[in-house]
Amino acid sequence: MNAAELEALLIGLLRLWSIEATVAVTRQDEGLTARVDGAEGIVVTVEQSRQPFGIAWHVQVDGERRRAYPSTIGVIRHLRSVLAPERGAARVLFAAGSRA
Amino acid sequence: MSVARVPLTVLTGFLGSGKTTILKHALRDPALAGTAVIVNEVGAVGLDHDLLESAEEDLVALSTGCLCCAVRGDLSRTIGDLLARRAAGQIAFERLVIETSGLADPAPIVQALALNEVLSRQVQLARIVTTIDALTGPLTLVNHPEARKQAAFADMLVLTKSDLAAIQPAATAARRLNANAAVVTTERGRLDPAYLLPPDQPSEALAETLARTEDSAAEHTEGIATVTLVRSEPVPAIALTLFLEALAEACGPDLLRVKGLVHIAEAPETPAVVHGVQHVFHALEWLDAWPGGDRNTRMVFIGRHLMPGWPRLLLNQIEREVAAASS
Repeated sequence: MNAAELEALLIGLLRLWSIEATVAVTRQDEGLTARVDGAEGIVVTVEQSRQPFGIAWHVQVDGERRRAYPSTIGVIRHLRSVLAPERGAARVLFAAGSRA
Repeated sequence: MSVARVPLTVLTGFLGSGKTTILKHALRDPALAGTAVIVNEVGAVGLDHDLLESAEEDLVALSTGCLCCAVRGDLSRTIGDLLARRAAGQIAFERLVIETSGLADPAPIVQALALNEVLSRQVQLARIVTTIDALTGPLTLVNHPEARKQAAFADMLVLTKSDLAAIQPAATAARRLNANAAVVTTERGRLDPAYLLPPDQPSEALAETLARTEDSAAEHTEGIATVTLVRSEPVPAIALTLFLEALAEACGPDLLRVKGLVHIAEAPETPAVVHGVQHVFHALEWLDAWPGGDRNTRMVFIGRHLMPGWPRLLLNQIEREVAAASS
């Protein structure tokens, strides 16, 4: 993922949640860092880097512990809980097959 | 052992858009002999079912569940009852049609079919047909979110009352909500009954629709967008599962519908048919071969505030994570 893709991924999420915020992505030595500035003063930092075990994500909200995630799903869940807490979770349900 | 499932057509559409009239005419056609009809109405006293005349009165059932979570139980019981009477030899039918109430959200109905373990083995969703009034439809689609949702869910959009108004405004408004559905028109409620019958092969019908799909930008009306994704690279099965999970996590209830024909890396010869309503996905179905020989993955996403290209971006990233974790 390059900087433009990370920016578009985050902007797409903000749009889904109807959130006014700005996104700025910079390339660091080990990966990408995105800063999301929400309209209500919330600042979230999202980092993505390549590690020996795979791709690692870190999310940090101002003043809170930095959290690590092994996949985009965890990042989306965390961001939603911070930026759009009023939106409920929607976990995928797969229906039973016809030949069960 | 595999048992043939009873195909089910959902006929929905806003209040007064002509559902009952269409069904009333269609049920007189011999082509629809052997059709059991469930009329879903809000309130204990319904009228629509009294307006329907079927060759066999026993084949018209009334479901009065209010169209929220309660519908699942009531509708499931109604379908289950019909199937039980059929199994006992008391009635005979080959297909089911549900006429929803005009304010119905089709999602709980489709989800009721998918999530009920017993029903999902006996009933197969064939198509969702949505009626839109050519005269009042354009304004209704602006003013009523229920109508927009009904249009967005459709496999087929039926523009009614073409004898009263030009169809183009309604067709354009409906197309903006659902660019991939087939569109037909009716005059005085007369619809070719074939449109209410299940396609010979539902999965192949979907494949045909998707075969016309090209990667495109979304169109927007009141925030609802249709985004399509076409890609040539096969998708690992685990990446598809995680992608759908991520999509549902991000979109929540604003993800209205997902349809797709997917080139799974582990099964390149047999395309997988993906069919989801909100966060509920039917079990994958597999076609015997690629229709027309085109092996591209084609998916259509209908939802609120979906950004063009965003599903592709998400799928690519999930795929990279799966590849990195397994390397």
